[in-house]
Amino acid sequence: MDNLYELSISEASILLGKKELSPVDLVASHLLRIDETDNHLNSFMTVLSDKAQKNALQAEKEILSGQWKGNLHGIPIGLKDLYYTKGIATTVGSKIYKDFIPDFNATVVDKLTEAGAIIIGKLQMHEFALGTTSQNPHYGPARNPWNTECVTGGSSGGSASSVSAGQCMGSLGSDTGGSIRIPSALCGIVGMKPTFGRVSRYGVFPLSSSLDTVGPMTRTVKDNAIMLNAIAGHDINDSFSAEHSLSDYTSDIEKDISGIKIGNPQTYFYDVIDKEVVCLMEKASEHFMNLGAKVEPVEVPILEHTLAISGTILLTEAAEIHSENIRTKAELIGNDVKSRLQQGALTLGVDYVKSQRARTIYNQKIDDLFKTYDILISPTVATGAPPLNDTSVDINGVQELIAPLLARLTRPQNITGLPTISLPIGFTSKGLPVAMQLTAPAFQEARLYNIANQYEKISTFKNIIPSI
Amino acid sequence: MSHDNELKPDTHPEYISKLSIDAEQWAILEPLIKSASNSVKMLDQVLTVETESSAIFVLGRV
Repeated sequence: MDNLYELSISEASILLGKKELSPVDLVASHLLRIDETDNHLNSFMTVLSDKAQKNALQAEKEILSGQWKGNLHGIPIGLKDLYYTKGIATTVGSKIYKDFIPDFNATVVDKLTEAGAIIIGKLQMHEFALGTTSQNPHYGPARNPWNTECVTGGSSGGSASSVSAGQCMGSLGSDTGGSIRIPSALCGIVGMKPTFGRVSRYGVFPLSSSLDTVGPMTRTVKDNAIMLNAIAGHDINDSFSAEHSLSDYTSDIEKDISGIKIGNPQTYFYDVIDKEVVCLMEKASEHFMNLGAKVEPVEVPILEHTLAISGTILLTEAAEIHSENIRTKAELIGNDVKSRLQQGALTLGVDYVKSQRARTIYNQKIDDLFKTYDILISPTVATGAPPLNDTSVDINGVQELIAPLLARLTRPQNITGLPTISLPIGFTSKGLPVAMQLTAPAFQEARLYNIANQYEKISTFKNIIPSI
Repeated sequence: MSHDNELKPDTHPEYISKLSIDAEQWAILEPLIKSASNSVKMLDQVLTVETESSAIFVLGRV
């Protein structure tokens, strides 16, 4: 292969394990790709060229001496710039934290490096992870590799664009209202929001304590499972971390899925949506039926209230985390994020509690659905990537505000905390990626990877890197 | 149905001031807050007395 950056993690790991590929060459290929493309994309906050090359050399020595650590050994990975990295700037996309240098690593960063992954850089994001576009007033917008005049989606915009463009082989994002799934969808890659508590958040700058989830973003389903294998597990340092048994998320990935029952919620998910996305979702359902699955329309009770529930909880908890910032450093915060934090600070306690009560009811209704269905299917985002700097987008003749529209279909899954994977299903007529999301009961990530992988195998949208 | 959670921010100017909210910013925030508050009021349609106010959510029931 001419360009090593085009390899998937699973392809590269086989070659690395057989000593047919050098981690030094693999990292060099990605660093060159970053050099060639990042002035167009703005994916990176910090490129760790020297550290990555040094660690690649170390990985090469280890592999050559027979100490291959597994599928991530020698694989270049990027981190959203809210993961604490010892001695490396961690800005959280903010001017306030532009000089913040953590003195310890996030648990997941340690887990990745212990698995042999090579951290290649820190990635662009929406300020404080509180937004859906990754248009950052302090560091510039992350740009979509499929059309650099379009948004990546957010808040993990750099995490998506870097993987999509072949600047790294996988990345970590964070998902509070859709921040892994939205940019994954708009940039044409696979993004997993694991079950709340499945992956440690220790050393990940918080946004909303009862909604924050961290997870992997990759170009294939199997790569995603490989990354989750490395980062999942209980952590005593994260009080929300779950003590639940671990799976090998790649072990069932090839299982036949005929006979599974897929619930396809109609109301809400298809109320405000581009017709092209609807057509691609219909084709995705047909693909599943061709695989032997039963896809049935379902009605999800109180789905229409989930935006109120999640919005109230998210903004209130974010305002608590940033209470000092909005009182003493508001002038350093971008206008959109400042307004959201102030809105959260002015939310009444009564409304917050009411939202949490309604959340409980919604979660019970969803639990009931899983007595009948194995998974639920829905579109991830209602449109392809909108142009940078636009505030609204035409959806079937109606102008819709972009920021809330992008998160409209992803927020319900944060309320439940249930695992949800987003994967590509095609392109709009403008050549922009479209995605579906699959949701399973708690801790059934292995089931999701199995079903998503079977879909991916019959689709043509796997590990495609656009020319920049 | 009456509500005891009507937001009357103009009665708390000192609090608003501490959040660096001037008149111009308030003009942006006011419709957002009113809209969000109205959406939360709609939750009364689904809330019942037996739901637990302290519950966050149920996870791990597999």
